[in-house]
Amino acid sequence: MKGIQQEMGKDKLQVLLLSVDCGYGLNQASAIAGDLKAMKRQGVEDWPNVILKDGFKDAQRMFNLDGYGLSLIGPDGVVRGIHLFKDDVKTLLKDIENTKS
Amino acid sequence: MDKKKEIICVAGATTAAILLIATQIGELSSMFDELRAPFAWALPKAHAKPLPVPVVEDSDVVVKLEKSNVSREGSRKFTIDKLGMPHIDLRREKLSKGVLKVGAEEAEIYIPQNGPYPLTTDEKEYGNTSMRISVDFDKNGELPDHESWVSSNPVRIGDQMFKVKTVDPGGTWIVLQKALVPLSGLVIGRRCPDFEFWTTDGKKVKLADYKGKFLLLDIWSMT
Repeated sequence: MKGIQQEMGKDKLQVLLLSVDCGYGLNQASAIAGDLKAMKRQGVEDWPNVILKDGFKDAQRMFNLDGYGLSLIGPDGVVRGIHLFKDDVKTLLKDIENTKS
Repeated sequence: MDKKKEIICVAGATTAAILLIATQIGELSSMFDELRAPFAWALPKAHAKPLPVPVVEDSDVVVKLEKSNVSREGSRKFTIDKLGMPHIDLRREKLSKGVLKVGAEEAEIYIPQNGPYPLTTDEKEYGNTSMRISVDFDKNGELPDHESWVSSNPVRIGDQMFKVKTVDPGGTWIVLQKALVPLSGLVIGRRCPDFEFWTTDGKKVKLADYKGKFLLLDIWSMT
């Protein structure tokens, strides 16, 4: 996702990481430390990361999401896509831009 | 009649008699489950009798359901087969449909045609085992995963949350109750529910912070 964000600019696209590591029995401290390591490896340590204490149960309760993946919220706060892969995001963003122009 | 034809006739008559007996046994009682088991493929499916719609409170909404031709991927349930091999049950299930008016809009809701309809999840099982209710708000006849909701949690229908209160064991009606809880769940084309989180580096983030920008919510784990 870093590439897409670089292409669009941080002022236009933001990413919020929602970590479900605690759902696998990890305690919060281990999850935070492990997540940070993984984020550094990906070069995204400056992205905001939130630990969902109950893992997928929280993701389901808050967002009705029960698996990994990306969901796109528009600048107006309206949901534009759910359960997306990286390429879906690119296509969807292009479609939205094309509809505007 | 030659010998071969005679044998075929006798075999046919015997099979028919066995099926008839099996059907009769099937209707007698569940005490005969063991006897019925070998003939399960030939028995009529047991359907619970519809119950009368219960008396409801003001905040309740009764939705009548009718069998439809729509189906969806069944609840993903991990099972262990006879050889001890684990597998995921992904069979499609046929659905019953009802229409619910929320404000000025109408939503189509679907539940499986056949019960049981558990409204709570079994904590011992993997994943949420409560009945899934699908809400086809865009009425495109497709029911992807993200339009399905577990009934142990409040269900978003339009911009209103509902608790699934009761389901007729026969699947002919469902009682929903308006839930006084904050909006939750993502629905394409509808507003994202408000959220407020603390990030791992100690900052507070909320939906309003992203106004005017696209936001990607990324469910992930380091594993």
